[in-house]
Amino acid sequence: MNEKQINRLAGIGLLVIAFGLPLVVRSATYLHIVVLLYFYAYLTTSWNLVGGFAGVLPLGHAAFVGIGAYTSTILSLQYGISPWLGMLVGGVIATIVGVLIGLPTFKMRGAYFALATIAFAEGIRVIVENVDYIGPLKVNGPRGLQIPPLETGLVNYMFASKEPYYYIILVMLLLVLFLTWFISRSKLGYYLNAGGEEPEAAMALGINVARAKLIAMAMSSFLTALAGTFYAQFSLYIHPKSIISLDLSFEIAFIALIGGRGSIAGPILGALLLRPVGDFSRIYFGDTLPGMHLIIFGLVLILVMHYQPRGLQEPLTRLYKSLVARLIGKTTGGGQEHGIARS
Amino acid sequence: MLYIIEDTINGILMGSIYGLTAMGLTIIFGVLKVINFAHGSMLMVGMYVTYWAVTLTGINPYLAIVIVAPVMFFFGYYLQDIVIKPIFIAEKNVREPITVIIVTTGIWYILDNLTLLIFGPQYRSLADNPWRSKMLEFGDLFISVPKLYGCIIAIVTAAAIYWFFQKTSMGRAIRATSMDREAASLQGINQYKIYNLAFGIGSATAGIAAVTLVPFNNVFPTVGVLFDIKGFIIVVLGGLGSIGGALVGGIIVGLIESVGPQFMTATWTEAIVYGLFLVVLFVKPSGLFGQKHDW
Amino acid sequence: MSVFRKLAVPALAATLIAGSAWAENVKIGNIIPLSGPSATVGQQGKNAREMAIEEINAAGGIKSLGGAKLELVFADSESKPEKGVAEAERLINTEKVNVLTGCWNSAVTYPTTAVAERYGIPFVVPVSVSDKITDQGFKTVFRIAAKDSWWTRDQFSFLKDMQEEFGTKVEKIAFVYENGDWGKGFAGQWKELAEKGGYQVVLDEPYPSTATDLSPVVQKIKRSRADVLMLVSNAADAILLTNTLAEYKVNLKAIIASGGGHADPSFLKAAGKSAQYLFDIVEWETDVNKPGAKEANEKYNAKYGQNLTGEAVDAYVAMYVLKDALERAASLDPAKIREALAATNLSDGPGMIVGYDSIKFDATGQNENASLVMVQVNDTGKGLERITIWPKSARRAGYTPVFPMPEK
Repeated sequence: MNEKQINRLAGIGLLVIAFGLPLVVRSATYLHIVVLLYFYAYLTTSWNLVGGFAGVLPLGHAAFVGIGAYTSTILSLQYGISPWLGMLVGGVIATIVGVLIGLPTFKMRGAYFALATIAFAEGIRVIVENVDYIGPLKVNGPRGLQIPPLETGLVNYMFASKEPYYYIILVMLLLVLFLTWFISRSKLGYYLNAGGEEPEAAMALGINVARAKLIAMAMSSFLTALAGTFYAQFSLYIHPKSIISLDLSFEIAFIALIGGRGSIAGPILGALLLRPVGDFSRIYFGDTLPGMHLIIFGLVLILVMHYQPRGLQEPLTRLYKSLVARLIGKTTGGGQEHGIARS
Repeated sequence: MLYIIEDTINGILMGSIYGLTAMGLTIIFGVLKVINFAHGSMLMVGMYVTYWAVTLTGINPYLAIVIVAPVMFFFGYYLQDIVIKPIFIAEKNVREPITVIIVTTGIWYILDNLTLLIFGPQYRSLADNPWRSKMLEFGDLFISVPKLYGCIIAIVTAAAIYWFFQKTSMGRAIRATSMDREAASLQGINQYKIYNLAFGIGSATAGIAAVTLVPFNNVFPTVGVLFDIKGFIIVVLGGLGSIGGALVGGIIVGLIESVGPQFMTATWTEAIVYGLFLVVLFVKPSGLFGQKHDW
Repeated sequence: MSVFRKLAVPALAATLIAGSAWAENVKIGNIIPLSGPSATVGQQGKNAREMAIEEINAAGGIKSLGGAKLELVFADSESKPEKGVAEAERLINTEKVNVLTGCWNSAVTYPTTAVAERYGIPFVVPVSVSDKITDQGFKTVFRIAAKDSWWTRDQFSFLKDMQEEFGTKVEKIAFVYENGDWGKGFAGQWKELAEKGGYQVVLDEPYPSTATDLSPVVQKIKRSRADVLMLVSNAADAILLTNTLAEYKVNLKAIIASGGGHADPSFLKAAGKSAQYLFDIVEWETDVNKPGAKEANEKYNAKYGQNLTGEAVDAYVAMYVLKDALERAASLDPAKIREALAATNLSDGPGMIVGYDSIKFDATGQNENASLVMVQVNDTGKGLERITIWPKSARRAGYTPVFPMPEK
């Protein structure tokens, strides 16, 4: 058995586990938690196209989640259009907005870019909270929109149990992971990486960094908006304060940085650590020690950054490599990292 | 017409207090090149320190500065030294270590919720506070006394910090580090010590801002969040790293918030602030008073 | 034979012990904001529930269920719908709660009641005032508090009665409210009621609940020359607004608040003299003329250092409503509990400290008798307190409301 085979085997094993999980985990509680975990992993992977590869720190992606959720929900509530179609419309709108906001902001550096994206997302939230109608479209201001229970089934994007949602978000996650993997090996990925690390040098080489970043932004905002529709259909209630919130934008960035920014496995690893920490500490301490769960969450953020400033993917990739090496009986140093760990 | 004058005055007074709340943010950014997301929480801690200092000792709320500022200086100094410094050391080669942003956010969560755990969710305000509701009246023109004091303290603080950075050797060392880390450390300046100092000064400024807020505001665990985003906007408007810029940025935000509602509902002024912020960023990314290179 | 005996005795004893342990606890899941911006209300709700449960369990629990004890499971929503929904799923599927209560924030209550409805788990809403909550056609939702159309209706009836009683005419009204589900819901109904009542609306102003300075809004109130100001506020902004109104010496005939922040225990302490003469609508007040109310408040105050508020009382009473329903259901089957809740007609007994006669749910699950009282903040020599003044039948003996407010 060589390394390639082991990798393939591990991949297949993970897929089997992922697809088989609902057969083992019957509890709706845990399925719910896992669905949200995938949802965040998906969001973070989409975010990673800009925040990871392009080397900037966007802190306003909740705006795209909001655009996706509101577009499909309004179209479905008012015109009876299937959320699946609305999802694509939302994606397109988010892409346009993303490019428009990307054009001027990508010239900014570091902190300025981060703050500009915060202001942009907060601005969108304020607008949504202040308008009841945009033309004929009912946005309903701060009260949000509720999706009444319709006939369950694929067309209405509405299901009685958690399993269909589980598989939808799982497939979405796998697709976006594949896309990231594909991009990371493409010319675009190379341009983005070069532009993120050494923008001047990249430009000297004749790479159009700005264009590469815009393409990444367009894809990222499109993909993020799709998840917005998923969230709306999963929770059947959208509310500007929670869906276009800084909390959501921040959590995406946390997951990316804790997992390992700019790596393909990073968002998954980050979500695998942070989501359960958040959920279970709230469950155990929520009633007796109010606020304790957020203290724990903050501590985890600080500790991971202390010991693994490049995120969890680095040591875990090393661990995996050495395991593989042991399996094939070779001794290799954990130093060479390709593929999964591009940081 | 009178209303517009009154609102303009209120906007300037309240705005300079906003500027004061954001001044620490700009000092920390100027030196460490990091947005401190825990700044609002430090302001909140300052408000609790002020509240307890006044409640326990019965001291005049404004005199509490002599307690609050040093306490907050050491709080910030050691927070940076113990929690943030190791990350700077680990990320030596990165110009703007984004990991530090995550750490400051972690500090924000911990401070806010630790306060909730210890002091509970109650809203507190000073008992028998002589400054609350104190107004200067010129006929129909009203000016809030605590806001006026806040404005004066903000200007004095800004001047003092400016003087400190220009005239003292420690201030110059901090400035040198902010401009060029390597060059400064070649001259024997201990970069991390400077970071501690800058964080301490930023934190003390938040403490001073807290003192100006407590006489007419409530103290509760999430109060810092109200000033957080506002602070970011103010410092970028004024130019990250510019002390005077923070004051001007604060006044701009204060004026929009104060005069704006006379022409629209109050909720829309928020959108105006964000819009103006984005426009300034697009047109002059270094802010109104920022220099090309951050300080 | 003797061997058989030796075995049989412990076996019998075991059955007996099991028999007394047959009384399975009744689990009540509560989703309330224990951290985040509404933590102070969540804390009150938690305290009130715990006090009620202690009393019920000390009195022998649910007798028809063999003395089963009530057990509370609290979950923190952080005021976020996403967390509320996840907690509802957990409480139902993992904690296997028999009933749910919560959530105060309407934005959390909508989606969580939908979860409970899907599983058929009865959901008692002590407070969350939006009309929509009981208008969704859900079978499992029961609300103790009055809904917002009743709050607004009573505020306007009160205004009308006061004008008649004191012979002062009110023409111009200003609406100022937090820009959220709650404020928007009230404002929408105020507008209709004002039109019907022939009032002129001179200001309709939402403000962000995260505001750090409300003087511009107060300026607008002052300039509008309104006779009456109607408010919906959370605690921090209620305090800020009240102080600022006093600072700018805004002359109004009346300020009518809508509970919430104005009823928060920290409000009177923090706003002090500025709050004098304020009218507030609440579900319950400490001076209510009801047996047991005074004792309950004293007990609560001794335990938690605050007076009972309308919100706390709704949570407290909700536990007694559940106890009563469980007693009649004599079963832990959610469908039976739901049926029993629907047939509720609770008029006396311990815990019934609300101002009205009985708790009874209509077809939508709304407590049809829920009524409201108006209070005025004033100092009758014992410091500032909240004094019930309306309806007139409930007015504190010997107190004459101050209307209009004296000029400043």
